[in-house]
Amino acid sequence: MTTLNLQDVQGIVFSGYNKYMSCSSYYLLQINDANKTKAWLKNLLDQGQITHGEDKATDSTENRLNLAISYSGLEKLQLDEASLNSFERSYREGMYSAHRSTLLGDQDGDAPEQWLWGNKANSVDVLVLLFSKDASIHAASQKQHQAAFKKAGLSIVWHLDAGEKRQDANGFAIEHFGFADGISDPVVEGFPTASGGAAIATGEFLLGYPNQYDGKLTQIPISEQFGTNGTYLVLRQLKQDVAAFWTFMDEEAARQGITADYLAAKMVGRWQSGALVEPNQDTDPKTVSNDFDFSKDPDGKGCPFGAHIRRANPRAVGLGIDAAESLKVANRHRLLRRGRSYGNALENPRSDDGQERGLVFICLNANIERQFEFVQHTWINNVKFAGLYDEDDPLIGRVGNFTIQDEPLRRRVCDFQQFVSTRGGGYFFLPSLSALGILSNS
Amino acid sequence: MQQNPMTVITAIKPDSLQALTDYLKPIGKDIKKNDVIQFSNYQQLHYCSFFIIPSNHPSGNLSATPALLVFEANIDGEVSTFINDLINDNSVFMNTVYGYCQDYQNNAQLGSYLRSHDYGANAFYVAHPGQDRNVIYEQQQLRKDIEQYVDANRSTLVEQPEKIRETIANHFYSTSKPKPQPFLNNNGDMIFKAILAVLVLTLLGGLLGFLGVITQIIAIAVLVLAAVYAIALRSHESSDKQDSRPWESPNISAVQDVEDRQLQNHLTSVIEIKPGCFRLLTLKVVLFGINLVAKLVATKGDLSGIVTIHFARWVILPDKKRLLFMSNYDGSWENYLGEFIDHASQGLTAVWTNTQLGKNRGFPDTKWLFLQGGSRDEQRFKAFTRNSQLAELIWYSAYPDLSVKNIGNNRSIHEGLFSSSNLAAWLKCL
Repeated sequence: MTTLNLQDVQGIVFSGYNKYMSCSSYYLLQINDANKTKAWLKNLLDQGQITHGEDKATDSTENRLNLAISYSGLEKLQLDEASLNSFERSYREGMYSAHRSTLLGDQDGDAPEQWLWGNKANSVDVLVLLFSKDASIHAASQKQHQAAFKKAGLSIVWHLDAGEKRQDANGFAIEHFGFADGISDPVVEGFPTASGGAAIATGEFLLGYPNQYDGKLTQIPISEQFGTNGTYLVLRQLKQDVAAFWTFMDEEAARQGITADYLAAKMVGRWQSGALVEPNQDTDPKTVSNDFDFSKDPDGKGCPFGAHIRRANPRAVGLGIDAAESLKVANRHRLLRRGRSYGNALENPRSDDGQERGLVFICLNANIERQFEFVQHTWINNVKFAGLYDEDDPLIGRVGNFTIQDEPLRRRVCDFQQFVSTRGGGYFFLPSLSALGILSNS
Repeated sequence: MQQNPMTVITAIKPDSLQALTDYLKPIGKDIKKNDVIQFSNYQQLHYCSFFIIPSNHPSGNLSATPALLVFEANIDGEVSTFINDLINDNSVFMNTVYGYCQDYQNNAQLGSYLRSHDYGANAFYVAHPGQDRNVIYEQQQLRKDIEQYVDANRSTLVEQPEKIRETIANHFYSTSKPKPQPFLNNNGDMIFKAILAVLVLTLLGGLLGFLGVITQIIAIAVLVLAAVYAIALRSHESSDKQDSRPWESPNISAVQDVEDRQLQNHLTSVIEIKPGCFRLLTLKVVLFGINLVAKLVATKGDLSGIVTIHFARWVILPDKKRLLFMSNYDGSWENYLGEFIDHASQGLTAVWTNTQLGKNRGFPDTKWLFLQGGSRDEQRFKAFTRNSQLAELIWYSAYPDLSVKNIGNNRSIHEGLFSSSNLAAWLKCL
């Protein structure tokens, strides 16, 4: 059993604070004066403002704060070359680099040159995640921190506010297309939140602990002291075109002689309630569970092979000679998701209001190349996923076909549209509290 | 037809390295439209590549050897036919390239020059043996047509589920029957098992004296040799040093630049064989075994659980000091290496445990040739492979939009069109 020093790990690793913190903002900052930034960091630490795993939230908790640093941020904080080189390659190159963009499918309209932030022109050094209990506390907190950024020589490149919280009866957040989200979060060994089920090794999400490869340690940057209890954080601003999504569903469903809800559910792999789409279902059963592994649906006749959730985690089907091997492989590519929606819900999902809205996609992983990038490239964006030919993720992919496996004959949606686009993004390192201490004193 | 590997390895004239690179690189960058050579004109060609092995790769130990040019191809039919076609159809290109290489004389002897420098492969894997390039093209077109027909007629087809295939087959009545698959595709597995059984039974029978004195002596000798080998192996393994410092070859950026630009990728790895005849001999035996498995067992698009390799080969370089591995595969490098670790760590470890990046910088620690360690050490293994890689100057794929699974599925669609059994399984292929 892994025992963690919870006080050393930033709190966002264990929780997205959804229960107590209804507001959140994401600040993307540039360092203009390294010494001032270090003093600011030291001050945050001394005042205990950086939330760690032992800070248990209650009804009276007002704020949470976490902080991550990009490669350019570490460069500006004057780490030496050997230290810098000890971070993994994807992090050093950055999400906006040519090779990474190709891997992630950030091309054409999604290319980094088009981004609002996180590209060469608007590079980001520090990410601050602010959470508050309610809107008035959040407004005060934002004001206070913005003033502090200014003093610390940090300029704001971009910032995103989470939208009004939408929650369903089961307590799951509802994302803008109208689907319950955040249902499938891995159970991690040693985490205080872990309960039952087969757990994923701690080392998949925190550096310095055994990972899913027979308990090997993932490479720790700089030193054991610095790297342990840290991890990599991936952030992407994903804009959702809600009206285009539902308009397409209406038109295509009419063409196919099915309902828009059915078609959308097949594309996502879950009904709007979050219930898995199973064979021979026409409507939402509204029974939400994450306790399935696709072994009862090996031919994709419930949840199609190309559906979003099947791509994001194929579970026990298709990655090995049997269910056990497939699951073993799938579990080497898991992500801890910690994002929220930004912008407010679209009142009439068929009619655009000109406001931008979407998802602040945040995930944590110990190895960006083997986890986030792998999932994005080999599963989500892979036109050949599960033996398919020319398909893309119908929910967050760009363009392609989408086959709905069915009895006796498959259906096919040809040339679906792009509903989600990348507006910004970056790779960050989420240091332990002791590593932040080292950085602030360096 | 049978698919064959061509691996022409020639030494580059010392003063021509840059000129050769400058000649090949622009062709590789514009593989489809360059006006020097169109590889798609060669109907027998599945994949080919040109790359240079620098004299100091992977370490400076071999600096006395000249830089080598490798031209490798996966083709239908005979290598000599392909070589003749190349010389006839792209004489300028071929003579320019080999004009930069040592021992080249003129166009007249180019054919024999290339044939004598062809090293084939010590082990060669083909995902779909017997599947000619043209057949792959035809079956892809057939699949596209059938899918479109189904899209347009789905509502009428599902009215009579048991007649779906019949209706489709009637519509595509002019399609010709697929050729039967090569004998070994369906029977190799059994032959492989029979060979193993005979070997084991002879050994056992020999030991117990059922097969006469001579066989008994041979069997005992085999056992003694195996024991001696095992002791020698463990002694080598315990003194070999693995590459444990985190470092990156300066080639990695160049390798990344030509990677993941499309569905398929090409991997070229050149690595030193650990010095001494023990490792070279072990390597040769392991490669012989892998070649046998590839010919007899792995004939259905699946090399011990890896379902993304179109063609792969291992070649011991003429200097007997280095090992070349090449593969044309679907998907990203990260996925490919992951598949190695997840499914095929035994075979890979058995090969690469005999190699090193340089002195005291060997493959991750291995026990019993393949049983423990080696490629199971995920990050070390990935770094080892990454550091052994070279970027190709030219890489051509005849069907860059088809995966190994697609090609197999297309064949199933074609074959099933002429079958009256397993209707449900055939419908799943659509």
